[in-house]
Amino acid sequence: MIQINNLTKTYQTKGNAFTALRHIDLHIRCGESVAVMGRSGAGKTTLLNIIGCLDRFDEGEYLLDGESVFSLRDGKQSQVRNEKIGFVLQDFALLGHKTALFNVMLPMYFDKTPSSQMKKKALSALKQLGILDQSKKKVSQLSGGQKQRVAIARAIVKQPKVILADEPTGALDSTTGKSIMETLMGLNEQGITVVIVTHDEFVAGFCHRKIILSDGKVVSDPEH
Amino acid sequence: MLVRFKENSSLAKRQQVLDYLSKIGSYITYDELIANSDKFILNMFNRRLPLPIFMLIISTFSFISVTALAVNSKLKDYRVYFLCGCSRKKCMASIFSAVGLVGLLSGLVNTLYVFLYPFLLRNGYMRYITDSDMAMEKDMILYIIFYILLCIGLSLLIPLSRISRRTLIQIYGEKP
Repeated sequence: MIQINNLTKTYQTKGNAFTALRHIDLHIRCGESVAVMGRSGAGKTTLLNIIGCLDRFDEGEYLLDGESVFSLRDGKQSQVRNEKIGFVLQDFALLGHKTALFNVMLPMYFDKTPSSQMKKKALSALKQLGILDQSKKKVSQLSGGQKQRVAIARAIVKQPKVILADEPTGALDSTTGKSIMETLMGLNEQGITVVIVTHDEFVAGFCHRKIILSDGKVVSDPEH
Repeated sequence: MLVRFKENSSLAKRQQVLDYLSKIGSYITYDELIANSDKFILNMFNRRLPLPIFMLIISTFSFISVTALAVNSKLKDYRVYFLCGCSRKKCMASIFSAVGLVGLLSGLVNTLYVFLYPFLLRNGYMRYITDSDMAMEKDMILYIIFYILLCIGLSLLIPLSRISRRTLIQIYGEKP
């Protein structure tokens, strides 16, 4: 599913070079749930951004579903992001001034989903997440847990192969966080690969595999 | 009264006329007339131009600031679009068209003003703004287009400088 070989990523900031990832080798199989852990600055989010086709890298190779996505053009790469990847972020990354329904429909605006099906699919995703009754509310009116459920509904509306979550419970209380993790693991049981970046041991405990990064290197991976 | 000498008139004759004019009144030469006119025009410009220039500078800075602020605040939304599968090119195009729309609107208003100016002048509406009959020609539209394009270009420099080297995700990740 996700194959990373000898990947290196360096940021250039005002003449200084900062290597965020150093010679990373990683293989995540279809249907796995993986927690990526490490201290701040270890390279967790950078790795997630690269897996999510949100950022580029300098050296190495990254294959998603056997395809080298970084050799693709901008348009094709965004199509991969649209069709194969769902994102769940700590700050929810939702349009606060729009309704929950609109937010869930958003990924379908960027592909050729007929407008008649967009609402149907979005409502179905909201129903699956148990927040159908909140569909007409603006996101800014929802609680943190509800916002994260909207984000998860948006992530699954296109039936992606992988969900990438960056500190998905970071802005939530422990009870809501647990509930969100149970939801993500439920989706994993349905066959969606889940990669979670976290520094929380409790969150990582939900996943089958735990990878630890330190200074841009993989220092612990049960598969190695 | 304007005195014009024949080309073949002698210098002595000319001096004779000038002496006579000095006796019965005063005179100024053509060069002095031009110099005085230039002085008058310059004086008029000095008195009248500061206000339009002041307004032009204010409007230019306002336009640039408003569009730059609007684009910056919208970057948050573009980051969400990017996550959902909108390509970087489409995001950029969307940002630029939003700025272009503001420019286009102000350009249209100005063009309309140029077209309506003769009517406004004929009916005396411009008396509220100016006490002279200024001329406004259709060529002015070209200057308006140039000015609007310049403003749009300057407005885009700020967001463009932020986006060009980083992704929308990196920009949003930066702490203010």
